[in-house]
Amino acid sequence: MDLEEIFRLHQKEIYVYFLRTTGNPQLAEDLGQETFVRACSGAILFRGDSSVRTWLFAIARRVMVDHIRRRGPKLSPLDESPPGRSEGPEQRIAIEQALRALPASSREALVLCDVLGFSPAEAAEVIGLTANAFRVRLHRARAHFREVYGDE
Amino acid sequence: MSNTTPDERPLPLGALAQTESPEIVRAALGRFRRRVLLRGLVLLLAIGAAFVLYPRYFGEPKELAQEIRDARGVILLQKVDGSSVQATIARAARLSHDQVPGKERFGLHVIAITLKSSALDNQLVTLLRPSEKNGVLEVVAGEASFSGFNVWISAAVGTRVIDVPFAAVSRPDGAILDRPLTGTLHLDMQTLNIPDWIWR
Repeated sequence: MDLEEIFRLHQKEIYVYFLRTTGNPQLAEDLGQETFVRACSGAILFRGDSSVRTWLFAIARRVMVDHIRRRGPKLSPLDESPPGRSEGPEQRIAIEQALRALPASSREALVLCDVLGFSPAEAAEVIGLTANAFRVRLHRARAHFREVYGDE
Repeated sequence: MSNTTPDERPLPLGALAQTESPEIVRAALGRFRRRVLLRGLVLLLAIGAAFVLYPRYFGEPKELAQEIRDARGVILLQKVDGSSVQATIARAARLSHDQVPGKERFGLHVIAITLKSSALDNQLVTLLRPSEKNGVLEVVAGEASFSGFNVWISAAVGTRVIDVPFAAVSRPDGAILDRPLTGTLHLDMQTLNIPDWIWR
């Protein structure tokens, strides 16, 4: 499997990661491209210590951090986000609003684990935290989300 | 029944992953190729600039003799007769203006010998000195051996005639003799058939 095929396998979830953390489809596309550009440069150094998915998301996260350093953690207005497919628009908007109300670190934890399905251990590796530290962050993020969204 | 707290259970946010993804990979690969190309070009330009600028600003200046030897020029082996000195113009060359920025120069390698047998005990020296008047920029005399020695001259482009005065000094102390043996070499670039592109 060549690099392009590997990238294609992860293209959608990389885009979703940026879309759900920034809320801006244009920016998500741009940051997604930057992630794959850096992955091209870094592919030669990839030793297989982690899965390709974790490696790609670690790059994506660095791209995100660099972007926030340059421009600040400003989110785009909600109406720029593309509509979903499986839920009603009102519920969808409410979920997205609740997600946006969270701090960036909580939002990122939820996107990785509850949107993209990473295990806490994998997400901890992506973010560069210990598994326990990440579990605490995730626990708080979920509690915070429920508080904002009013679920359960 | 699960014994996990609500905050340990995943939130039902999977639907947020259900979205159309634009084509990112192809654009990323194009961007990567352009970036590699651009960096390669920048690197090549930087290497080229360093190659050109380093000798000009940081390189050791070449000795005139080496400069004349290395520069683009011609081997002449033209004989020039003075009153008591004979010389051979071994080489003429157009010099780079890297060494003296802003000055277009050419160089001559002259091998001079005295024709007077009485001068064998003495050492031949040149009295030529650089000046704006004669167009000469630098004069380097080589180590004398018996009756002859090497002289390397650089002059401003356009200098057609250079008169090179010589004298003989006694060997031990380098003092000019009471009745020094003197002579002048008259170097006319046109008469010597030095190509115009070298000296004009």
